[in-house]
Amino acid sequence: MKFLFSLSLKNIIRYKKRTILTFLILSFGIAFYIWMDSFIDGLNEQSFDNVINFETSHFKIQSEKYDEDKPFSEDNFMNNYKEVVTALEGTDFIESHTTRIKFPAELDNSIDSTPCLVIGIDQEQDKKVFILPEFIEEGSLKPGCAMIGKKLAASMDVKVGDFIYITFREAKGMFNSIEMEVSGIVFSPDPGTNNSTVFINLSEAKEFLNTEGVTEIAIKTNNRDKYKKYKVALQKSIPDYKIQSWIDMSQNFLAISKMKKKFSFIFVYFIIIIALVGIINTMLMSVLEKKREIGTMKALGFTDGDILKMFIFEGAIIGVLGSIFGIILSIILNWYFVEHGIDMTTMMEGFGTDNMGYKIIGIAKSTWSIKPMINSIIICVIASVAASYYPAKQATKLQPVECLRTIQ
Amino acid sequence: MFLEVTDINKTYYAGKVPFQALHDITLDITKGEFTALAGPSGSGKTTLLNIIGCIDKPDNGEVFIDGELLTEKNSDELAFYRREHFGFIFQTYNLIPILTAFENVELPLRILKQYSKSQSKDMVMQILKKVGLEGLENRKPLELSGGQQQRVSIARALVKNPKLILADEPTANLDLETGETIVDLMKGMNDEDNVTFIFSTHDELILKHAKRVIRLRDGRVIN
Amino acid sequence: MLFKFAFRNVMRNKKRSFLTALSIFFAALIVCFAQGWVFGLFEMLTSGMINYQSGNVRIITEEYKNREKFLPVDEIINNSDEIIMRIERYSEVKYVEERIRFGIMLGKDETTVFGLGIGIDFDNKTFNLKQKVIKGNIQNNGIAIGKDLAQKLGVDVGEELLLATKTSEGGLNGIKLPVTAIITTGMKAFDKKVFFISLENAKKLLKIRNGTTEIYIYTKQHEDSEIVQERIKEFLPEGTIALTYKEQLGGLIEFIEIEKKIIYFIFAIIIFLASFVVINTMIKAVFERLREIGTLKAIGMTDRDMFINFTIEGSIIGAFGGVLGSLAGLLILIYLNNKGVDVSAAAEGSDIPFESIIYPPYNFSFFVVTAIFSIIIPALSSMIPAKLTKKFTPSEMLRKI
Repeated sequence: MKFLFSLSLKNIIRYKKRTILTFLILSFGIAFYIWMDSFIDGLNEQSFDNVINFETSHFKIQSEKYDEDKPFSEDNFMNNYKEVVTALEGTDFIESHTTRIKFPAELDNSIDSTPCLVIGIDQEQDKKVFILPEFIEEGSLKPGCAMIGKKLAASMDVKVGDFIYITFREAKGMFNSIEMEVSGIVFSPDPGTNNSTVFINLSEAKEFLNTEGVTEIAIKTNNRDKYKKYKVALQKSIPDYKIQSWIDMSQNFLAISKMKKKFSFIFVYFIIIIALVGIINTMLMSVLEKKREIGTMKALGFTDGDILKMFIFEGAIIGVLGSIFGIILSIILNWYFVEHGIDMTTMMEGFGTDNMGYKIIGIAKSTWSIKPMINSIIICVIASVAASYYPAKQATKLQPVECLRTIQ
Repeated sequence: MFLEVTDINKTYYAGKVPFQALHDITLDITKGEFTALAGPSGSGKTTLLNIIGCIDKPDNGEVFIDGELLTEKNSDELAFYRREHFGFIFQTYNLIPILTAFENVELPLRILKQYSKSQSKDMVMQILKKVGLEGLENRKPLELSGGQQQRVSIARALVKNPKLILADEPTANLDLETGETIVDLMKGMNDEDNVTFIFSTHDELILKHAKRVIRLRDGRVIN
Repeated sequence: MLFKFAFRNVMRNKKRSFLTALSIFFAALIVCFAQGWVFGLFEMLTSGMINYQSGNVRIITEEYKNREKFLPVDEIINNSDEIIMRIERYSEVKYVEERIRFGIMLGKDETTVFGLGIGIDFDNKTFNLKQKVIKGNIQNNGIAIGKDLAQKLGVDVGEELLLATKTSEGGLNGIKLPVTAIITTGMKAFDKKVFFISLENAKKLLKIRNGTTEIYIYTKQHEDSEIVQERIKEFLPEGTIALTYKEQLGGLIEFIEIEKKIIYFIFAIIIFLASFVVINTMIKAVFERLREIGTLKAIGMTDRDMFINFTIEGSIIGAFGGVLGSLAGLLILIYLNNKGVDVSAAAEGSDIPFESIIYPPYNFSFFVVTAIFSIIIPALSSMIPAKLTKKFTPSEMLRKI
């Protein structure tokens, strides 16, 4: 076995140029695949961070009947949220928690109005779960005032000290409009926060809506990756509530990622087919020109199985070389996109959209993913072994005498 | 003098080991000669033929044909010269396997671009008849015997009426009887059309047919 | 003769030539297919934008342009009927449409949803609403509402909806209208927020008199946009502007142009990669035919002749695979064009006007462009091994067994 393997290796080295040309196709294909996959993972990673840091934290607990489209329904509010908090106290994996009220409204600067999301926050608790305070660019959230996203402020042309009107429907269905002073501007990497959010104090939100309850409890755990286990535990201790993990909340852009990965994979799939055709071709050539050697080896007592193995090893080595080189290429390519990323701003503006489904502002960066690299090695080796089977089989079919007679 | 070769030296390298194939070769050939280069293998016959035929360059020394210095020309000029004036016959025939006998013989005329299609067709048929291959013109080389293949290759060399025909061991791959007929065929052409032939051989029986014999040993002329 | 010679050499080792051509075949196939797919999407995107956001030329007030994201209803183009009538007479113009868009908070029972109301002539050709009805029918005095929006609000055909919003005069006004049709535009982004009412009702609701907010002009050819714009400019009332789609969608069009260049570059790389197989095969062909090359050179063929010969040989293989591959790519596009591809997952989260089922367009030019790519690149690649023929002297080549 070892001997056959070293023979294959020698054959590969013998035709360096040809081998390199053959595996390069494979390398480029998988380099592209690894890079695409890593980049999409990078987009996801950034989006996850924003979702967790600004919108949902690790878990979001809502009333069982919560319906986003009925924001002022009584059912959406948890009036007994304090009981829930008490019930969860002592759960070892919970690090901190906070309560929020979210409701849609219309923001008016007395000339134009635009839809926005109002979030009532308990500033003391909130900063233990979210990182909002780190991104306040100007001012702060003062009592009786509002703090709004930077882009929202820019598009409404309001500054700290200006007044805005928030119009919304109360629980009873009546429209209500409140005038508030803007006391802070927040600039966060989360598009939702930046583009359309108005923060007010939780107690005031309760007053406006005339409610005792909150719409959600956000929970930060000690390990976000254990969301599956934790979710089960949470469901056990508070069975009558809607519990969503950060992954559940990210389904939207995960679906897009999946689609994108699928498309990029189709593309790679074709390049790999091209590479396979190349491998079959190269191996066939190598079988034909080694006819005399094969004859000699057979005369010396090599079995068909040995010959078969020898050529299949050759294929496997091409696959390994191809994947190693492809991974190196992808690392070089990916490095740039991890370090520098692409500025999506122009592209987003071109499409007249804010985020294309991802929760990213500005520069999108790639990440380092091991999974596509491992996939590549497996794909390459299996594919090239499969491709070398046919030529190897051809080699075993040759008769020793016939082979020796061939003048090359 | 038709062909003059002066002070030719040629060294080959087998890896880093030098091997001097030719030592100070000087010889003259007059028009219409039927000359054999004789000697054992490795004596420099092929190298000398290749240098005369301008498909190899000597390290130093000169080759003149009709007073024209050939060793000075560049590779394209030499290709044009060969195309017009030389015919080659090889030990392994070297016919183009994808072409029929007719097309193989026609090839030099096509390269030469001096004759119309019908003209060249007549010339090819005529020469094929002369070498005794009438009726076999549509066969591919692999469908012909060794002797027949060598006849095609003789026809290919002769079809454009070259000044000089160089034949490297034309009979070595053939049995003696066929070899002798091939040499007789060449000799007949030499007699009839006054074409100059230089051929190499290591076979004493074939040598009997030559009009002049130049003997080589270890890269030197010894007679 | 060179061609015939090369062709016979190609046929000499059929299996190898076939495999080599096969690699170019797959490369051409994916390039042709990707062209239809990507450029098709670009095309859909641009035409979607033109249809729904920019027209070929759009007339609005200057102030409207600055505040467009709020869809102001107090920026009125006066005497719009007269302007429309005048433009309709132009031979380059296909049709002229008046639209009034307004943002509105829609409420029913406990539900509150932000909606986008569009007041249009229900015979409007761009939206072609009558074809998009899935329930009920379009009536002049009713609401045609997007499927997902209807679902969110929980309204059905026959129920009334209160529309209340700020008018052009600044006050609040409300009208009650029955939902008479539920429609689907095929675009998630639209279906979940858009509803249509007649121009008359829109003007009544928003208190707009003798004017409109936006005039969309569609020309027969996109190229005519600038000509029409020039002619309109001559009589536009003070404070109004006419913008072509290029001026409005500048960012998008620029982005697509850059993207197209990048994509062509990627195409070239794919075919070049596949050409590695051609290079490999031709290197092998040169080496196994050294003696033949030597003979041909002895007969008087020049280095250039041999170079051309081998280049043609590689090119024939490439062209064969390339042309067939392009054709196969085109056929796949034709098939998908008939069948459609469901991309709803990707369209879901984004607010680009994008249809959930895509019918990638096919165009003979995709075939032509791919074929040209996949003939030229393998041909250029073949030159690399063809150059090898120059590397040896004829006598060296003759010596090879």
